[in-house]
Amino acid sequence: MDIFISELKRQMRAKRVISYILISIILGGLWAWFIIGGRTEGFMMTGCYKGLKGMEAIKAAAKDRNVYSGKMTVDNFLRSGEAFLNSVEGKDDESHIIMNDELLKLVVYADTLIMQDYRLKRMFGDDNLETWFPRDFGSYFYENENLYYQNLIDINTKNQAEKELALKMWNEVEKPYTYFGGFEVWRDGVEHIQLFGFVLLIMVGFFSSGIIAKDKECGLDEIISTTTGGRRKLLSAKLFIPVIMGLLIYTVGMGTYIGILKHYLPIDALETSIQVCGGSTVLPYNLGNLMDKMVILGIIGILTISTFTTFVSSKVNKASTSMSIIVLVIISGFLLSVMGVLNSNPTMRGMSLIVPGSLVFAGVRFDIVQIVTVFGKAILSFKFHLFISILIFFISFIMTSWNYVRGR
Amino acid sequence: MELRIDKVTKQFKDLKAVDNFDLNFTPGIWGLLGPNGAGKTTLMRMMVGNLKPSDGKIYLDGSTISSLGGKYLERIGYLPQYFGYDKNQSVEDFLDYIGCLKDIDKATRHKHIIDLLKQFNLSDVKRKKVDKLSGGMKRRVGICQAMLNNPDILIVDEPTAGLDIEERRKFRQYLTTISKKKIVILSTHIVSDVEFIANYLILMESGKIIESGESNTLINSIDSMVFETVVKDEEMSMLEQKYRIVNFHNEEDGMVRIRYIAELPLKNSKLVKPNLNDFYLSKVKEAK
Repeated sequence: MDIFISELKRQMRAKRVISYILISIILGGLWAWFIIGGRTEGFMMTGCYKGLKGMEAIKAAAKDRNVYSGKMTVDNFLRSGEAFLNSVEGKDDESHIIMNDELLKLVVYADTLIMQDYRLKRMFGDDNLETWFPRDFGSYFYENENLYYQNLIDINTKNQAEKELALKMWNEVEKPYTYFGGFEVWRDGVEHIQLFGFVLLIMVGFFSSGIIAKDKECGLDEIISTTTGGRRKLLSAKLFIPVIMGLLIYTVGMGTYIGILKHYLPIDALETSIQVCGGSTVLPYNLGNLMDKMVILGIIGILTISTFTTFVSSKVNKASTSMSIIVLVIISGFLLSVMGVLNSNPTMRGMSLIVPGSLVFAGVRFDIVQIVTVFGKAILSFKFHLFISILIFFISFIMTSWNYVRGR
Repeated sequence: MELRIDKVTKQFKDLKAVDNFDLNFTPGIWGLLGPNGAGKTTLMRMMVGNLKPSDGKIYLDGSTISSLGGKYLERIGYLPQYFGYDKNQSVEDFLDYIGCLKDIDKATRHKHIIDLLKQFNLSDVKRKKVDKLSGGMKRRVGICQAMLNNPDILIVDEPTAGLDIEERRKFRQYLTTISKKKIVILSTHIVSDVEFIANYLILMESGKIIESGESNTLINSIDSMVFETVVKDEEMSMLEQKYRIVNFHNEEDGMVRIRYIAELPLKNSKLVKPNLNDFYLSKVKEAK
């Protein structure tokens, strides 16, 4: 314990820890300010809430949209469809929308209907994308949702096990959907957990990359390795300090970010079903669940990159080499995840699974129907990614221990 | 106490850094002399367990150092050629950190640190960062860390590198003081570092021992073979091929005073008392 504390004091000296914490807090604050402060609201270029920005826009839109918030009933969908069609002027391909009070309150419903219409047309090869939906379209909202998601499941599953799991998930989705005003900015905020996580990953990588390599670089390792406690007893400190610091950086940074969002944004908006949030997914979560899951995945991702960096640090002789490798790994994980989504490329998505730290970007695995089959068993893609990351975490731990203790 | 190096070899790809090194170390100061690249550092790194021999074994009192593990490390103190430290640690913190790694309990290491700082005139700078100290002070901190556990075997690699003449003298004095009942192995390529303090000498060249034994015996082995004379400058290259010239000094009128080793001296040569430098240079030249 004496050695652990001694190493802890050396690696986590006040000035260094305070710098990292301050940077995390500042970045968290700036990121939250970027999400909230830069927010504008509107609907199909109608210019509603024009001139409003930031909290003013969020509050004004949430106030209007909360009139029909809560359970999204078929009646409201029907009403929103009619209100929308009444506000459309001109022919379909040259139409524009004149905003009115009723539509302003039903904007979330109308937006969801428009999106459903568009998705169904795309799915069933209807080229008539410029034509608006029929007047009673909203009455069939949940039937249409069923139709869309069942087809989506058919297209995106490779075997019966995957299909069954996807259907099970879809059946667990609470219907009618729920929404509360302000969810749109929360949705952006939750999406940005990944981007902010990327920055925090780099910070953790920077901290951990020198944990062993720096000792070798400055020649201190030459002395350490000739002491009785210098290998085995120091190992636990070398392994756990990056983990402790990683957790600290992530908790403080992400805590600041989410704390500010929670302070300024309406909390009940987190109860919004993720199906209302723009993407298509069969997962039965609301925005709050999604945020919790992404934070947990982020924490595991941070732990993975901490231990993997320690392993790299034990292999190389220079902290700068270790740093370069880790930055490359983090960027690869990010690019593979993003490109995998943009191009719907299963190879890239598969590759991103094994890149240490890429779990931070696992938010992309909540989209559409992402299920993998492992030894004949269907498993949600993000859960599989979590499993692989935990495996990488332990393998890095074992390999670092082996490297460090066996000496030269 | 006996530290036995039993036919140890270290091979790095195409280079044999240490070649069949075989020697018993007993208490006293051992000067390990050799030019750069002779294999001194590699040998020392094997002795402290930082490198594994490709062949041969190292024993302490009959047990291999690898089987003794921590028990061996408890008994050694090591100052590497390039003394590494954490740039952000103060002298006191650094010594405390190393003391902690050496498994010395808090009270004992605190006492040892105070004593060593006093002994090495470092008490005034104990709160200064090691990085901010002069080269000589850094080496003294290095010796302090090696001495923290009061080791039976002290291995110091080029300890006087970067020290000025006065610091060198003090360092030699200190080694003499602490060497009683200890094995002190000191590697250097500077002869004056070991000339007056080493009880035993080992001369290394290309990884091999070229001579070893008690200092006086070795130096006396060239007694009545060291001469001085004055020759013409243009004769130097010819003489260098015939004699082992160990030193020279330019005189006036194109004349050079040379110090050389030979069984049959040149005309007008004066027999002089040999010193370690004569012995060292003659043996290194012979080996080459």
